[in-house]
Amino acid sequence: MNFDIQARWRLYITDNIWINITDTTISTWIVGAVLILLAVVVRVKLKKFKPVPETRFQNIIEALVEFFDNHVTTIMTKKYAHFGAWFFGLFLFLLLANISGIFGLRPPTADFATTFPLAFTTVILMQVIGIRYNMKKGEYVKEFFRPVFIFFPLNVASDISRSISLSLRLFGNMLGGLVLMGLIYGLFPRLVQIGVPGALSLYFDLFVGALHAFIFVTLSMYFLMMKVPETD
Amino acid sequence: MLNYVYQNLSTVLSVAPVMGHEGAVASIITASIFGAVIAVLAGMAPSLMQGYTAARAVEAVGRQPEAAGQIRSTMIIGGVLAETGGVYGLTISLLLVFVNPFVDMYLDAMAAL
Amino acid sequence: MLLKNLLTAINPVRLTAGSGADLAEYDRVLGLDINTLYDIIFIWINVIVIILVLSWLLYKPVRKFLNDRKDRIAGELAKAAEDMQVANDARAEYEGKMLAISGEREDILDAARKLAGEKEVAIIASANDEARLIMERAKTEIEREREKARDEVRTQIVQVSAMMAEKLIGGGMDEATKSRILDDAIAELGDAVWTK
Repeated sequence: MNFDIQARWRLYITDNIWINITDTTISTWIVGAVLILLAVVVRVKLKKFKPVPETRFQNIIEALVEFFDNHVTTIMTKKYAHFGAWFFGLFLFLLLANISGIFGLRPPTADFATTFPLAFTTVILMQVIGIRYNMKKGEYVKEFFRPVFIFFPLNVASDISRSISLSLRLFGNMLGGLVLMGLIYGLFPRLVQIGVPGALSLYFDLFVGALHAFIFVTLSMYFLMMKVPETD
Repeated sequence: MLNYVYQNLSTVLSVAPVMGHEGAVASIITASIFGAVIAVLAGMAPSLMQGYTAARAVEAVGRQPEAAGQIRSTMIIGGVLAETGGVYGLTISLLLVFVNPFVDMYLDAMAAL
Repeated sequence: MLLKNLLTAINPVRLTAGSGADLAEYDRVLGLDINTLYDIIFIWINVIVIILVLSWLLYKPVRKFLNDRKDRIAGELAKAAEDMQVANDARAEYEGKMLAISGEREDILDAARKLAGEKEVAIIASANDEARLIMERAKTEIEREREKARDEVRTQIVQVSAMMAEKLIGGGMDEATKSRILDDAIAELGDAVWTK
């Protein structure tokens, strides 16, 4: 049973440094192409959106954006709601990437090289929001020394470990789903492979994928809100 | 059984000149399978505690049925956070079973000799 | 094939399919070597581009559309509430005026009725007076007629009795005596006989 990621091509930048174009890179490109296509279609059709939606497409897009807008405004108050733009893109990308197991791709999030940059971006955004909104009176730096002065390395390590935990959670779930689905497909003879594993795929791919996309984004937003002073 | 494990671990270092590389690799794989089984045992605690979380959530809903939606979301978020420990164990065991790094490390070390 | 040759010809970055063994050393599920770092950076750039494009094309315009719609509906609701308020005020004012009008009507009617009542009394009184006058005049007329008739009848009876008396007495009287007797008879009789 082969669950490996395989490199398909190599881009040589110099003779000793190369970039591997792997399965996950190709999956990321395909998912990205679908998403960019969707975005362009929505942008073109936006002029024809009516105040009371008549078409199904407009309804779906409005429902998605409004649901996410409510979610962001609930967790991060209106003051920081402009961070929702990044998290919406992240949410859609993760949603489509986790589901792409059904469509025959190797999910890009089943590779640590995909989940780690996303989690690391969250850590960078945490520092950004802390510096931008918390820097006067040096609150942002003082937070690191908060309970006792000695806790400074522990606070830094807790920040970094948040990124590792976020990435490993997503990676482990996706890899577990991939391995289990592969094993179950291998368990049944060819004829039974059509209907029966699909029911389990419904759980492992769809539900877990959507849930973890949502959880990743929600947890990132909670971590961001931890760096910001409590509103009165 | 623990003696068997200890014997296998020690054969990795000493058995190569006698049993050849295949024996050593077999021992490494045996040890990794034991490790993988112990790692999956880490999935027991999240399951127990998530059941406890669900019980408390049901209790809270019974006490205040209007907040059912919020209680449901909070329960799911808490459950996923608690799941992380079990997922760590699952990842380690999957890595040990399918893409064992120790075999490669051993082969590289033996090839360097 | 053609695409690969084209790419290799025009690009300084060599894109090769690589040989099986060369690429196969990459096979991994989770490895932590330098390849992973290059992968991380490359996929990082990819994902950031995808997410930024998505948020700029999809999220911001649709959110602006939704916010505009929400503001417009809020504005329309506020305007509708305002119009309703104005309409209610106008209606209250008109109803007040209607009540005042009916009150005024009542007053006018009362005054008219009072006036009519007074006039009625006055007219009736004057009619009564006139009727009484007419009756009194009629009564006076009747009395006069009666007196006249009485006088005539009295004169005739006295003449008749004078004639009879003359016949009885035999014609031996002259005119002066006759009229003296007549006048005495009338004066004696007076009203006592004729008022029965």
